[in-house]
Amino acid sequence: MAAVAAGQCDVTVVNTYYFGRLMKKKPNLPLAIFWPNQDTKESGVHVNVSGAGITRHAKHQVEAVKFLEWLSSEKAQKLFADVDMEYPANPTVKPDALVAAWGEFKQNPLNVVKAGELQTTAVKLMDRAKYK
Amino acid sequence: MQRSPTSIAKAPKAGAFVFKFRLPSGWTLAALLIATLTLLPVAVVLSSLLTPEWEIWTHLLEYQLPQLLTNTFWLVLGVGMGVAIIGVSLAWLTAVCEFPGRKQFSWALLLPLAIPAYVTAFVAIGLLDFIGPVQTLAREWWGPIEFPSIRSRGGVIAVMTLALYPYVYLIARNAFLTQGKHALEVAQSLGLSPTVGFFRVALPMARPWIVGGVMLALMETLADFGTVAVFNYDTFTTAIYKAWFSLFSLQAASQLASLLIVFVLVVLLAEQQTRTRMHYTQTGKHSVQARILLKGTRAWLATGFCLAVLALGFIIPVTQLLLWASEVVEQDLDARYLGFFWHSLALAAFAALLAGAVALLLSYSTRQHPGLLLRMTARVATIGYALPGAVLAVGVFIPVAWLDNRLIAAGWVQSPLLQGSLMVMLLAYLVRFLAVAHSPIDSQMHRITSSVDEAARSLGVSGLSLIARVHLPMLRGGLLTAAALVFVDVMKEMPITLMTRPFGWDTLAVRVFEMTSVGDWSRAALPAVALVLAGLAPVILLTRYRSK
Repeated sequence: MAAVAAGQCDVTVVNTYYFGRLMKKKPNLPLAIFWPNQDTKESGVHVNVSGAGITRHAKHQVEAVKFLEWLSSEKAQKLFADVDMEYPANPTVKPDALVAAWGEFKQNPLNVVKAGELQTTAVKLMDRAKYK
Repeated sequence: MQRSPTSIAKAPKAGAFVFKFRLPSGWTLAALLIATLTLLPVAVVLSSLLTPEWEIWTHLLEYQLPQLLTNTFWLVLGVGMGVAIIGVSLAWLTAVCEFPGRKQFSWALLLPLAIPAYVTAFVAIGLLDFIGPVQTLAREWWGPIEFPSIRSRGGVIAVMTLALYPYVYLIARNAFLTQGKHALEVAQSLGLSPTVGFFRVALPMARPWIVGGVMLALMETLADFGTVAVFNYDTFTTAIYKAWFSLFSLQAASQLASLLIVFVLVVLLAEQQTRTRMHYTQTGKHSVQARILLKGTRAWLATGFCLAVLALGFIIPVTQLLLWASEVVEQDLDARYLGFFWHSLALAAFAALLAGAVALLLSYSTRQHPGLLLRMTARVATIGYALPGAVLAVGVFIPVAWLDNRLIAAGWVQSPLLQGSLMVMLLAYLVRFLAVAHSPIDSQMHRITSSVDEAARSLGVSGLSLIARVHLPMLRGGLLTAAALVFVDVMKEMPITLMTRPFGWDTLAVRVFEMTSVGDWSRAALPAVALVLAGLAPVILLTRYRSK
């Protein structure tokens, strides 16, 4: 993003919260967000999900459940929204004003489990396209 | 089964062939076991050549190998030439010539050894990238200008050369000090100018040393993971990492590792060849020879050259690290750092103890049974220093995972026991750094002659108390050096730690990797400062040893 602002290139792909954090620190940077694949026929923008779970053999299951409940509570979700500039997963919590100002966008509904299954193929595809 | 040499000596009886088969002694067994530990990962990785998975091979062959081979070829060539030219010229200047600052430079030029190459790498990128301070300032002054990109083949070669030239410098300087000046005097008395004398006499005589130093630097180059990862310059080590953790294919990782091993073995053979050709002939070392006195412009050129290398390799990187670290120290230095510190220290200390103990055992076995078998065993056991960490990570993980599966199949354990433990990591460290621990211990072991034992026995000290009261105290210096060297090497180690650490065992080096992979140089600087501080210890040890 710093390179885009300095004029080295025109576009970059980032997670929104990096953009949010940077703009909070330096609001005057000549950068703007762009949501790709928004036409009705298109699939929508990819959304990264940070998930959490408990393994079958976990030693402290009760505590782990409590921790996950806390992570999804309004209090914790507000921290993610305000400090990290992320989109909160809990629907009762509103995103930060700066984040809300980016507006609504069409999300890609693909199940992330599928993304995990296809990772190997994706990496091979990147090799083929010579992406570094 | 091996017969010890003594059984051969005792065996012949008049007129009859008597074969005595003895069980190998405990010492021999221990040494053989240690060598097996080293050979196992190599064998495991190479065996993937025998059971190829064609689907993976075709993908690698088509889309990765051409690039990996080209990149590795230029990197080895560039770094090899770079360290040879810079190392030899600095060694010649400080060993034979006289110019302002020579004395200080002769030890200070070793300082870049304290900085891991991957740290120099991210400082160089942070400073010289498009958005770095240098280019930004240049744009402010002169408007838009095109700089050659630091993230390029030339950039990687330059950084690695600056980090690795001390290997050549150190060894070549020794050669010049012990023979160069005298040879040069002879050459001069035969009417050759100093320049001609350097090229026709001193340089050819020092060649085995120089080649040895360059080979060491090349082993580090082939083993390097952190530097090429920062530069996004794909070599075999980064490809191994990617195959394992992005393609989720341990098989592909192992196939790539087997190719890397082939290169490494070539370099290793070359290095072992040159070792046998190094002969020290000390001709009146203490007589003070006149140095070649450089005057005027030439003297200042020499000083300027030394200063430039020192500035680029040490002063500028360290200054920039400290500046960055001070920017983030308040907000970033929190409780997590206790964890990083503790993990780095604990792993380094444990590995140092382990490697020290095993090296002692190996060295002691060769002393108890001096012979070809154990000499070769010790040789084999200590080739790990040439094996890249990325290769060892794969080569140790596969047999341990196999053992885990056996244990589960046998119903002894419910879930994988060893894979997620520290065992894989510590074993890989041990193989990689055994040579580092072995050489200082072994060189002191040679000083304990058999007459020492005889003297002790005549005083009634024998058996275990001989070891405890005579041998160990005599080995103390070597043991301490060995432990210190391994400690620092493990702290800086990146690929093994990154690939085989159990869940939650992030170290300072892992933190550097994570912060540099998102391009956050100032937050990477904080753990890097700690690594440089640790790295300074053995360099100081080295310079003090040399000044004696």
